[in-house]
Amino acid sequence: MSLKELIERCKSQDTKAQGELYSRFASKLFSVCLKYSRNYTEAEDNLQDAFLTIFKKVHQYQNKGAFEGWLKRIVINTVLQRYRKEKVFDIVNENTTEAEEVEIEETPVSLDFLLEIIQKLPDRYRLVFNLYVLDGYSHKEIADMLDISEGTSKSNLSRARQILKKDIETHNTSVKINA
Amino acid sequence: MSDKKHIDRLFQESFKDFEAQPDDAVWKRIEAKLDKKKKRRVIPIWWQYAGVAALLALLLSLGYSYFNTEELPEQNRIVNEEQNNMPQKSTESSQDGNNTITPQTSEDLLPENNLTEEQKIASENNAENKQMNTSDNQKTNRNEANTKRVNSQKAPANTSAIATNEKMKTSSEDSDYSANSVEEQKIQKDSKTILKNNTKAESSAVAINKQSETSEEADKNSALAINNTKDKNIQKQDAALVIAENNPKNKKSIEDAINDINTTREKEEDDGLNRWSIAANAAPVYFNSLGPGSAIDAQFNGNSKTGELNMSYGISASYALNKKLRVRSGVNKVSLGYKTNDVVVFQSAGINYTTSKLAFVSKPQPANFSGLGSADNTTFTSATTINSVRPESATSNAAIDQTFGYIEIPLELEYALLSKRFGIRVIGGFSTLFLSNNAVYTESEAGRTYLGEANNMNNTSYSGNFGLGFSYGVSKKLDLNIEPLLKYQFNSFNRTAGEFQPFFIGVYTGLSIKF
Repeated sequence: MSLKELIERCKSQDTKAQGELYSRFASKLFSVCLKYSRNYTEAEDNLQDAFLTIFKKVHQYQNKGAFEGWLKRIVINTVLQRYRKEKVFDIVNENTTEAEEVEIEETPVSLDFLLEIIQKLPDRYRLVFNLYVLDGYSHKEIADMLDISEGTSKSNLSRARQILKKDIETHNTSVKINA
Repeated sequence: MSDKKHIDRLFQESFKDFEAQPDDAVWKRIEAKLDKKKKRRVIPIWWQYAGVAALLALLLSLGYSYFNTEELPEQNRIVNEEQNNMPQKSTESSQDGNNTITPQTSEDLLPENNLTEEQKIASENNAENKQMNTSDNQKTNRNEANTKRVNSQKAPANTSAIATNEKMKTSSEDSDYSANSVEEQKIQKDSKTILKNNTKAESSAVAINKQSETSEEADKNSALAINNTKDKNIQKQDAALVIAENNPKNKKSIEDAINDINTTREKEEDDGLNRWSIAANAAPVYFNSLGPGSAIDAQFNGNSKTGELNMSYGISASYALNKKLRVRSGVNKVSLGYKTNDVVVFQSAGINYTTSKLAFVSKPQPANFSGLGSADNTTFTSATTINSVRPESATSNAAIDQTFGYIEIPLELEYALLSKRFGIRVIGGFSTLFLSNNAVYTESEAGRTYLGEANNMNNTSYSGNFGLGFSYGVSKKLDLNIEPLLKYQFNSFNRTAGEFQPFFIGVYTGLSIKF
């Protein structure tokens, strides 16, 4: 079954087609959920909510642009809706941290560990880091999406980088010591 | 330090081809929610049809019993009387208690039936009210006070009693109940009633109408009295209000009952598939026929026929083939009957009318026969045809009452449209009917006389069944069922005069246990 056909059948609320759509895209979209969520359980919840939205709104998809991109945007929106409201009380100086170069030693780090430290970030740091670094949104877009200023987005990003860098360095040191 | 790299690149490279397979449970949950949504979308449409169908069936059967039996209106009357008594009782009880009644301003809670109270009752309340207010204002407890309202015409001797207009004026000024005081002032202005307070040991107070009242004035008074009763009810104690609120519930219509059931439909309960269930049921069954024919004699084709309301009861067992479909069977005992109206019965005194024999009724042995006399001499004629040759001994307004009973073995399929706590299903199938009772009577002012049994009934016949079933889960195992069913009989009669298509409707109610 072609993707186009599958989408059409999903539009008529065909249960089999919905199952097929899920099995085609679940793992890709679940990775997005994992990166954007606090933990595994919440990632599952977000995936579930996202798919329910997808099946509900699939008739709005006009075959313009990549279907996968459309799906991913719904997943991100679902996640944002959940975490956007969480307030982050950061008093970060927006200018001082901005230009800082964050470089780390190139040592192999496991994907699981990277995922773990991303999930541990405060909600908005995590969202900004994901949106900017991993999904290529601009600070302006992020500011609109999260209802914050561009400056806040930038400072959140650099705070996120610093936390992540520190986490990796601590991790690497402990690995070295153990080794 | 040469192999340093930007932290962004580390993450970008690591997550480039990141994919993660979610647990199967996630899809299960999504599927369940999608299912629920779909069902929700379907329900309202079905509800409308199902609701209308059920309502029609219920109304048909209940409406029939209402119009054809005299008992039901009587029951209604009893209920009304009870309702009328309630406010009275509460008035009395509030009088017995201390005068600590707090005014309740919510007029919405007033039972409307007070307005329809008989004048007498209202007048009594009026008197009681006045007594209440007066004693209240005087800040004296007259717990055992008796109040009577006497027309001066009837007791002119009492007119010597002191008129306490002034007293009432002051007391009404002190009154907390402005509504009442206004009315009392009205009464004073009209000088129609004078309240006499007897402060003797018995503490009985007598309200006397001093001046002779015309009936018109009496009417006015009673109108005021009704108003007073209204105010009285405002002051009613909470308990009395609860009773009053409960009363209208007695009058609940079928629609309300159905609404009640409807409200429970939101409740959802997931339960596993219990394959077997057994049920007991009882049903009022209403028999009638389509077409203008007669199962008794051709001459009655044009006569009106009235179905009778009888009972059916039985047990059944059902087996679930899958989540939607159940097959069921059982045994029911069902009694049916109908009347052929406008029959003239007379004794033909030796003259043999051609109409004296009923085509489809076999007469019993003479020994069993009593009542109108010799069987051969008793003649039945449709009232529509006899006018010209009506014998003097004719008993008109008679009816021929045909009754029969069956042992019914149904075989039916149930298809579930909704199987939550509240369930709806469509039921279709057929029944095998074994004739168990068969008798024909004549009914007139003279009484009920056995005529014999119908000779045109098949011992075994069949019916096609169709209807709806509603169930409500009392517990996980126990369901309450209401099933309005139409059963169309195919071959109950082997010979009929004209078109006579019998059917019966039953509202089968009962409990079923799943296991």
